[in-house]
Amino acid sequence: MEIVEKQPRIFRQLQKSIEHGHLAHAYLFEGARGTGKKEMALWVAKALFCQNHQGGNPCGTCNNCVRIQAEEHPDVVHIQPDGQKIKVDQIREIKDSFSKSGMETNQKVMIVEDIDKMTVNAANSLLKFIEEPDGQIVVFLLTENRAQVLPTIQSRCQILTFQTASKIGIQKQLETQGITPKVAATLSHLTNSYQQAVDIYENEWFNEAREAVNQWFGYLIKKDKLAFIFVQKTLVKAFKEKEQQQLLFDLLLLKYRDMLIAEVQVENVLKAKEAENPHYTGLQIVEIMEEILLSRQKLTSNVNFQNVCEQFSWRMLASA
Amino acid sequence: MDKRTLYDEFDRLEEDTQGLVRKLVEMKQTMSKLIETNVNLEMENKHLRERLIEIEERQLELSSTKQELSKSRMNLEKIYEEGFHVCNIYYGSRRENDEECAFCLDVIYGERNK
Amino acid sequence: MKFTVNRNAFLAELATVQRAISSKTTIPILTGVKIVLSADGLSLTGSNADISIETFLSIEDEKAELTIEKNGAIVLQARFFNEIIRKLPETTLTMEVLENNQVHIISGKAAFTVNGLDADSYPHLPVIDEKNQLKLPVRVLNKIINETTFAVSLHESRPILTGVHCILSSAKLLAVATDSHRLSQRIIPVEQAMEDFDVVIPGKSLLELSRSFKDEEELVEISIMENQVLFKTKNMYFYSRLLEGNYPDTNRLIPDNFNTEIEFKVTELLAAIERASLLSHEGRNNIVKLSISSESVVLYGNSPEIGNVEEDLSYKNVKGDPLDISFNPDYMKAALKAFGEGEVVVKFISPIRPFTLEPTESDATFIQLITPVRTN
Repeated sequence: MEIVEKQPRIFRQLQKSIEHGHLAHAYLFEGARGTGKKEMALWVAKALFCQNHQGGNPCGTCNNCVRIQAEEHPDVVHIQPDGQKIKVDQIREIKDSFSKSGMETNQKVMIVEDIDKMTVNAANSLLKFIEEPDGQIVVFLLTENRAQVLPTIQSRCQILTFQTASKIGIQKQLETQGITPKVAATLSHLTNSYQQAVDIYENEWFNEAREAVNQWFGYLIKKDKLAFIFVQKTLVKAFKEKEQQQLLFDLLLLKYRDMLIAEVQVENVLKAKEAENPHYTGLQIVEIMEEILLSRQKLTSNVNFQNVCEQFSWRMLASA
Repeated sequence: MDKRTLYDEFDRLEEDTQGLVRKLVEMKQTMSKLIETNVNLEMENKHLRERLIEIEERQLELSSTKQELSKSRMNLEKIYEEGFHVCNIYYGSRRENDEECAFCLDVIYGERNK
Repeated sequence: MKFTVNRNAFLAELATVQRAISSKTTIPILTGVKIVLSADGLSLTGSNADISIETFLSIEDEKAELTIEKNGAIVLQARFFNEIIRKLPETTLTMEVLENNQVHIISGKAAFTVNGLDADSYPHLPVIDEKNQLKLPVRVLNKIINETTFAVSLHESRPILTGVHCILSSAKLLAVATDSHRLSQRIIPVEQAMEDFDVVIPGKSLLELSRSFKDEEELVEISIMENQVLFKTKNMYFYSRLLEGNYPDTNRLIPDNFNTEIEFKVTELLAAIERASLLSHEGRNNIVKLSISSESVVLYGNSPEIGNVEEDLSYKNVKGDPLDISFNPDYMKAALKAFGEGEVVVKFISPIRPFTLEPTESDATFIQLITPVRTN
């Protein structure tokens, strides 16, 4: 998806600012991973340096656009934290960018990722430069965590919030990557971030997990006692980490949700097979979903995974 | 009283009365003069007071402006001696190792309107 | 690109541009050297983003033995490439750029193939305006650099003070540097064939420039571009980025009224200061004291646990009020060294105001300022 589709409002706003020469000199881009913050900053950089503008848009093919995209342009400086913090060398690089003229022209752009990870001292030393920079420079500070960014920095920037894409948007985007609609739908329900969805999908374990959930679900709705045994036999081995265990219940919840939707005769997103659905009333399904949420909560409280699953299975098997 | 005594008495009264009038006129003249002098003295007094106030004010001004100059510069000097920059280059940051700063010295001691 | 060249001539050019190449750079391609071959000859470029050096080996240069087969350009890892060229067996070598930016290097029986980078990815240096140039002999420029650069600030807290403020105006070139503790200003008359300029050049760049000059008698042409300054000699282009912002007004720091004046022979005063500073360097505070009266001038150094030193100085023409003043001897040393030989007149206002040093037959073309140390 092009940046103009991902963040149309912000795109138009920045495009207009550039056109009218009203670009601010410091921006704070806040938003979850995958919402296009870096892409947007790169687009503005290209717009400022492009040698072949095409109707207010950078061409993407001239030497400057190509170098900027490859993060090789000497006057478009990139700073990323090394591990948890932004290092002293990088701070010096930042200060140099502010205090020296550009290498090729007077225009400079700086993109700092995860500005919330900068130490308080480092951030304070930059305040003066951000407030009143000498020379022509545009600074983009990116963060996924606005609350952790020093208020003194926030007050000196124009803040733009990058909204996460809609679920349908993410699903469509995943489908264009060749992911089947069924899986794409599941993924889009698991996270708000396209990037995270892709990460989950690419995790090999994910397919294993889906298989296991499908199997368990099958046993559970048929009240097959195998559901109970399945916990010790398969689930405990397949879902080792806490995150994975939580994902198990998330996926399970989705399956019941779709059953509920089918029951209420709304469009069945996961397209579960008819045979998988012995009759439950809507109310019963809702109660089960509550059980699932409770179980998930127990996991967060560090109740033993096997116990939680077995307890859940027992409840399902025992209910009328 | 007999007629001659009456007549003498009138003469004497006349003389006395004339004497009184003379004294009255004299006294009146003296009083006029006194009042005139009084008014003059009052006016002079007023003028002198006004002049005195003027002079005092000017003196105060002179001494206060002299103090003002040194007062604000003295303040800066004090801050500088405590180890901080007062020049606009270093914005009140600490003077490293208490090293002297030519810009600060110019702010404190230099001529204005150079 | 394909050419043959004399190995030593090539190595000499490489050595020149290598001065500007740093292994610790934030722009990866700058660890490379850019090689461009055109009909006129071979040019090499090295840069650390702050300074960039370009050299040129002309096809007419006989020692270069340059034969051009095909024009082109490439970027190669500088250090590694340099080592290869140094160790080649013959006196000449041939270089050829193949497809996908690979480079063939052949000399005698040795043949290397190394990976290069696209020269288009290398930063583009600004183009000079041939018309607007200031011409100076290298000797004069070196002198200005040596007389001012030592006084720049070494701290990054106020970056603009790490540079030398250079102003061209009314046929005079003024260069001033200060770290707020001491100041040095030099003015030289020039033939002004260009527009006025007012720029701040990083001290480090000027020092490197001074070291890169080969021939003191050559003329160097100075051009100021949008964002860089270019120093051009016959075979070398030396670029430096400029410092942004406004340099503080230093004219107001130089006083014009004094209460005490005294003349010294530079070498004698310098020797005395060096002796006195032996003590101050050992002690905790690096301070010496000068006591001036109409009968004598004495230099004192006193470090409590170490000891003390006293020296009667020889001087000329003491004028004005007696004075006791303390200062950092290292600043005085640096200032005196910049004067070289001859005599210097030192002018004071008071023990707490800065004092100036100038050559005796001065016309205000070279002046230094030192702030004394308060002792109360």
